Parts: sequence; C-alpha cells; structure tokens
Amino acid sequence: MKPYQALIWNEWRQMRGNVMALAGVTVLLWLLLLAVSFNKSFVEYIEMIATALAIGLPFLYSAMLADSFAKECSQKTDSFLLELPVTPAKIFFCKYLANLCAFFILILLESQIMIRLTRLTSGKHFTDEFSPGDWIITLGIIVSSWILGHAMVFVTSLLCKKPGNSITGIIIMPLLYVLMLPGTMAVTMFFIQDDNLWIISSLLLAFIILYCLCLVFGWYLWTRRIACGKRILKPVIAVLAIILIAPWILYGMAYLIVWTELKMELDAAKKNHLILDIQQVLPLPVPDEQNAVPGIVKFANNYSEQLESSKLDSISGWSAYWNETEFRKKQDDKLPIKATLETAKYLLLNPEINKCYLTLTTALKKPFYQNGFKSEGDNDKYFSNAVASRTAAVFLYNRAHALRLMQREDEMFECLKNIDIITDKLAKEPLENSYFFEILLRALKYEAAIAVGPDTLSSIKYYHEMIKEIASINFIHPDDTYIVFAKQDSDIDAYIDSSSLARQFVKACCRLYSPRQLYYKAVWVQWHIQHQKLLRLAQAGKTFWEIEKDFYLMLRKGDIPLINANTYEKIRPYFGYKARFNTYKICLALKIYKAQHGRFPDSLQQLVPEILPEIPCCPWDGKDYVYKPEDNGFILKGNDEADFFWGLDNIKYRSWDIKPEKIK
Amino acid sequence: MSENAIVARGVRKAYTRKKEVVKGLDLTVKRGAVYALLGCNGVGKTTSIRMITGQLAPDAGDISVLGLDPVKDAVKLRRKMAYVAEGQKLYDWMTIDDLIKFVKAFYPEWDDKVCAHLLKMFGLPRGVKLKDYSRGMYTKAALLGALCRDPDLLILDDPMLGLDTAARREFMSGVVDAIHEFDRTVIFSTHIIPEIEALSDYAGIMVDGRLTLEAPVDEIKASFREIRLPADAGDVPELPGIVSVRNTGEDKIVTVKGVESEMTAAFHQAGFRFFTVNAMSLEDVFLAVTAKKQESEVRSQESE
Repeated sequence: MKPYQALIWNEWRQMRGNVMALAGVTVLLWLLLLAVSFNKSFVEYIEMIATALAIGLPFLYSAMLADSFAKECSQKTDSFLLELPVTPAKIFFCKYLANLCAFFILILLESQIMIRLTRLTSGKHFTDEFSPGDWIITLGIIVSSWILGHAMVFVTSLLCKKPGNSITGIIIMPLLYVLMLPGTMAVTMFFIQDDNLWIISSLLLAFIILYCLCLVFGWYLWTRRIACGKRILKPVIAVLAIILIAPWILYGMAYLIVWTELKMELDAAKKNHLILDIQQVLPLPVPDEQNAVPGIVKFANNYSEQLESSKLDSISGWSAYWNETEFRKKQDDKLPIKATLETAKYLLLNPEINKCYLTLTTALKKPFYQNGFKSEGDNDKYFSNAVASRTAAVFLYNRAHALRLMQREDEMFECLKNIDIITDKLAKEPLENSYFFEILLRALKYEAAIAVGPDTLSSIKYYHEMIKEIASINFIHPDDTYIVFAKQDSDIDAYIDSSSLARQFVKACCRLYSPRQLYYKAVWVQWHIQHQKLLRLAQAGKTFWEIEKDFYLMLRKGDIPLINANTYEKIRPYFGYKARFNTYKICLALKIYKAQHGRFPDSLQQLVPEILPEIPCCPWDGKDYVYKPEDNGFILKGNDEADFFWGLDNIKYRSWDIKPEKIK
Repeated sequence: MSENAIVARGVRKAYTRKKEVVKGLDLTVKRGAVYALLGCNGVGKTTSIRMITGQLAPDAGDISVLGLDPVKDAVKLRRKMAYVAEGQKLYDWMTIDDLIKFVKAFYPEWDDKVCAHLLKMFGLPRGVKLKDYSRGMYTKAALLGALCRDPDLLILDDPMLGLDTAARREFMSGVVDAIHEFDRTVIFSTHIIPEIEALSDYAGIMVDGRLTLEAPVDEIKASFREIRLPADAGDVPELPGIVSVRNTGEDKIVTVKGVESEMTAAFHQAGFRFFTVNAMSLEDVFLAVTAKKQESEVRSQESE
C-alpha cells in the first residue's frame, strides 16, 4: 500500500460505519415513502417530502461525514497522523478527497431513490416551476451548495474539538455566501452585460471563491498545526475579516470607478451637446377615461371580432382588425390589396362600420391624454392605445381604398388626412415605441395614397403636400436625443419579479444593485455620444456603408470603446426610414407626372425640377434608384438588398416594387 | 557523517509573549547513545522534544537532527526518526495488524522480521482492537510501530507517564530488550529516573528552560557526592562546588560537585569534624540540582 492509499483506507475505515448507517436511513425513508405512495394516498405530499429530502439529505451527509478532523482531534490521533513521514497537505487532501467520494456515493444513491419518487406526478411541485434552462441552473446551485456545505463542515471540523459542532459550517454557509456576493457582483459587472448571465456568474464566482477559501484555510490550519487550539483564533478572525471586508472593498471600488466613469461620460456628453435627462424617468400620462381614447380602444376590442367574421373572410386583407401577427403576415402581400366593389360597398354602407367611422372622427377631435404621471402598468395601457391607434389607421386606410373604388376621391384624401391626426397625436405620446408607430402610420398613409390614390389633376395638390411633408420629416428617433434609464431598472425588475424560490434569492441579492445601475448609465451615455456622432455623419450625407467602414477603422485604432462595437448597427433605422420615404417621395412625384402628362416619365430626371428639386439617392450606398416604366406603371427599387424597411425586419418586403397593373 | 545525532544551540521558544518555555537550550546527543533528558514538570522537556521532532518551529537558535533541519526537512527526518509521545494515541478501531498495515505504508524500510520478532517479544494479542489493550500493551504497540521502521533516532517522550507500576515494568522490559537488540540513538524524556538510569549513557537535566547539566551518566555519578553533617553542625560556608544544602531535621545534607578528596579537605578546613561522604544515584543528583534552583527561587523571594 502506498502512503496516500493508506490515508484513504484509514479515512474510509473511520467513516465506514456512518456511510452504511446513512445509506440505510436513506433506503428506509425511500421504502417508507414508497409504501405510502403505493396506497395512492398523499401522493402529492410524498412527492414534496421526497423533493425536500432529495435536496436536504446531502446536508445531513455532510454533517455526519465531513467532521473528520474534529474526530481526529477528539480521539487525539491528530498528532499521530502528523508524525507520519508525509506532508500535512497530502494528509489534508487525501482525507478530503476520500470524504468527498463517500459523500458523492451517498448522494448518487439518494438521488436515484428520491428522484424516482419525485416523478410520481411528473415532479410538478418542484421541476415544473423551472424552464429547462432554469432547471440546469437550479441543479447547479443545489449541487454547488452541497459541495460547499461539505467543505464548510470539513473545515469547521478543524476548529471544533467535538465532532457534532462542525455542523456550524452548514449553518453559517448562507451568511458567508451573501457576504461574498457584493464583491463578485461588483467584479463581474464589468465583464458581463447580460443580467441573467451576470447574476449566475456572480453566484458561481462567489461559490468558487468561498470553496477555494475553505480549502486553503483548512489546509493552512492543518499544515500550521494550529487546529483545535486557542491559536486558531487569529487565523479564524483573519479569514472572517477577509470574507467580511474584501467584498465590500471591491464593491466600494466598483462603485467609485463607475461613478467616476459616469461623471466623465456626462462631461463628454455635455461637450457633445447631448441633451441628458438621467435624473428622472419620463412621466407616463394615462388615458383619460372620459375622452376619446376609449372609443378607439372599444373599436379595436369590440369590432375586431365582428370584422373577422365569416362575412368578411371573403374580403381577405380588408379586415380592420389589427394585431402583430396579422400585420406581419400582411407584409408578405404586395400592396395594394385586391379590392372589389362589393367589399367597398360593404365598408361604406354598413351602418355599424359607419358608426365606427363617426366615433373615430369624433374621437380624433378630442385630446388623447391628460394628467401625466408614472405608475406601473401604464405602459401596457399605452401599448393598447397605440395598437388601437394603428387599428384605426388601418381602418381609415381601408375606407380610403373603398372611397377610391367608389370614385369619391376628395373624401378619400380627407379620410387619409385623419391618419395624420392619429399620427400627430401618437407622436406626442411619450411611449417607448411611439416614434416607430408614428413612422409606421405615416408610411401607411403614403402607401395608401400611392397604391390606390388617383393620378388625376385634382389629386396633384395632395401629392405635393405629401412630398413636402416627407421632406420635413426628421428621421432621428426621439430616443436618440435623450436617455431613459428606466429601461435598465425595469429589465432587472422583470427578471427578478418571479415567484420561484431561486429567483427570490436572486432578488435578495439584487438589493446590491447600485453599481450596476451606475455602470449602465455610464455605458448608455457613452453609447449615445457615439450614436450621436454617427447620426451627424449620416445627416451630413455619408452613406451607411461609408459610416460602417469609418467605424471599423476607428475601432481598430482604438478610438471607440469596445462596448460600443455595434453602435453603427443602431443607425440602421435612420437609413431604413430614409430609404423608404425617399421612394415614397419619388412615387408621389411620378403620380403627379402621370396626372400632368398622362404617362409615367422615361427617366426620373424628367421630374426635376418641376416636381422634385432633385432625385434623392439611395442612402445605403449613395447610388441612384433603379427606375423602369412598364406599360401603365413602373418599377422602382434600390440597387441592393440593403434597401429594405428595417423597422419591420422583413427583407422580403422591398421598399418599393410596384407592379404596373396595380397603378390605376 | 557527524558523530552527533542531535545538536541544539541557543534554542528558544515562547507560546505567549510573557511565557517563554525554552530559554536557550544547548543540547548535544551523540550517535548511538542513550540520552536521558530529565527535568521536572513544566521545565520545557516536551516543548524541546517537539522542536527536535519538527512539530514546533523554534523562535530562535538552531537545531540539527541527524544532519537535517527538523522544520524544513520534516518529512525526510520523520522517515529516519521514531517518536513515541506521552499518552500516545493510536486509532482505537485498529487491531495490531491494522496498525502495522497502516504504518508500514509510510516506511519503505519497514522490517517484517523485526516486526514479527517484536510482536512475539512484546506478546501483543492479535485480532484484538487497540482500545481493548491494557495501557502497557497500548504503549508497547506504539513502540512496535516506532521500532519496526528501523529508525536512526528513537525519541521517547515520557511514554511511561500515567502507567501503573506493572504496566511501566512491562513497557520498560520491552524498551530494554529493544535497545539492547538494536543499536540506535535513543532519547528518553522522563522524570521517572531509576527506571532508566541503568540504560542511559548520557543525561541532561533541564531546569527552567535550560540544560543546566549535561554529561555521561557515569561521570555525573562520579562527580557528585553527598556530605551528611549533623543537624547542629552550624551554617555551611560558601565553598566552591556546593550544589545544594538540605536540612532533613536529623541531618544536614550537602550535595557537592568536584573531586571527593578536595571537597573532604575543604570541609575539614572549614571546621567540620564529623561528617560522612556518600556516592549519589542519578535521581539524587537530579533532586539536588533541581533543589538548588528551587532554593535560589525561595531565597530571591525572601530577599524581595
């Protein structure tokens, strides 16, 4: 036998009795629960008890097995061990590994037994609470707690003269863990952006540090031969002080660093003339129950079902009902939607739908919102409101189409102007996505005008107005001019606002969240400065591909912090909107030309300067749009795939590709 | 190879700032010698031995054991050295065979023949757990574990402490046989002196953390004499060589160190006519040397 084999053999022989007893107790418990479950009584409770035992029993194993040094000390064999011609470190780790192996053998036994029992009713009381991803994390936390608990007992057994006292290790473990967390959270926040990943890695790091600290501390006590004596007080106090102070020093340092960083970024923001509103979250006004909004909401809610009814199925695409899925589905269809006189008549003559129209037009004359204040849940109301607004806009769009078919052109343009009212009101709404809604509704209006609008002389003034309107649109998202930090708070709140035990624990840990918030603020300011710079370049006439190239050059030189490495991607919406609205402008100009000359021009240059002062280029690559008159219509498109409407993430829906026959 | 197995110079050790246990130990143990380290309880014997075995690091001074540093070369040294401590505890659940199996794993030099021989000689019952052994047998088991590894140095730190007379004799017979059969350096730390007097080649007497006397046992016994004076003989003058003076009531006993004829002449010159001169045992010398210390402590307390 080699020395390490002898040490392991000795350790095994000493704990053999305990291992057998614990295995016996586990099997007996299992048999007991199984017997009761066969009677099919209390099955749910048995499952819960089995789950609790599956998690809790390993702590009992730790308490019973891992107090190896306390046993050596109580039977005074520690000096005999230390007199052997092997290093104390070897003795320490041989004992630990032998003990850990026995511990895991018991865990394997009990997990096999208990987990089978927890599957009596698909383990719903415990396992169903977690998604597969969460389940792995939870299992990781449980297993690491077992290992840490075992190590804690093993080390505290060096501090206790009586074996039973080592159980203190398990009791103080959660406290040490919580003390350790601020430091690990403070350190990891610089490297991990994702909140979920950050919390998990902080927990993992705290576990690793605590575990290593345990083993190193145990090894120190044993090799310095100061275990089980008064002299342990000094190192114990030293280690406790490290556990208590070090994380808070790290936390304090992290706070100081991010606070300084934020100050620097705020100064830089001021120098870049970036308007900052970081102190308060924007107030969210709530809809007034007495004003027009309920009418629109009612429209959206009550009539959607009716408009979806079998009668309207025959006029696919005419439904005023709007939701995200439906709308996205529509994007695959080419505008305009095929309309028939029958469906047009239905929309214009049906009394219920006319009532809707009247409600809507009355509603649009009233203010949308009043008395802004912030409270949880308001955002949901606003989202419903925005959806209702879009529903109303689609309704107006369809009505305009019907009016066009019935050759009531002036009424059609009036109907489209109502979309403007909704758009303007929506633009004033401080909703996170209001700008997106606004752009969407505007696009809807122009698309309606281009698709179904007449190219008669009487309609020319409307198209001119629309061209002017497009020219006045600033394609910068309102969010680009100020910063709303509330998002970050709500993100973490959303994550931790859960009933699961694991997340409740995380919630408790997240009380120490301030440096993370500061850090986010600093990053956001930094990000916005960079974003602003890029937008200015875009406004100055640089194409997207030029900006991207410059950005990478700057990145290579190190002029841009790595955290902003994807910033240039964030200016895509600007180019997306710009490209899409450029084509609207050209299309409207083409319709004016058709009204004036009875045919579409041979080239776009014929629109200059009477209708358009100049032909806009594609902002993505700076090249001219491809234009081709065909029979009674035209094809207009960009040069490459970049010319899509970014806002809808739908590359199939090209910004413009109108088939000739669809232009009446 | 050095002729000394152990050399300690100026070794100091304190457990607390106020309490220094070893206050400058100078000790030399020759190879192959049986050395008796004597001293009263609490004079620092065990602390000194724990420093020699490398269990404790000295605060000051140098120690060399078999040419090795006991702290830095602890593992090497433990291979060459065996140590049986006072009240040595072994694993009670082990039988003697388990103990042999366990200890043997750590010593490549383990000698099975010696082991079998010692087992027979010590009469240790097999198949019985150590916890069921008598105290004497238990200590013998520890001694067996120490001897079978063929150590160059055997340190016995008061192994007989707490043993009753029968157990002590049982243990000592084992030790005597072992020492006679195997030629090796042995250090005995004890205050049960008569038991080891015949065995020891050298003796060192520790008083108050220092070695006040270190010499071959025969030399010690030859150089110390006990002079008995009548109780009414008057005060003993400050003569050179006087180690201690004790008054038993009937006699006044003066322990002297030096040449017997010179001391006798000095006492005659001092006016003492009736006295007897006796040879001393090691225990008597030990008592006299430690009594001197105690006496000087009493004197210093009185003068204060």
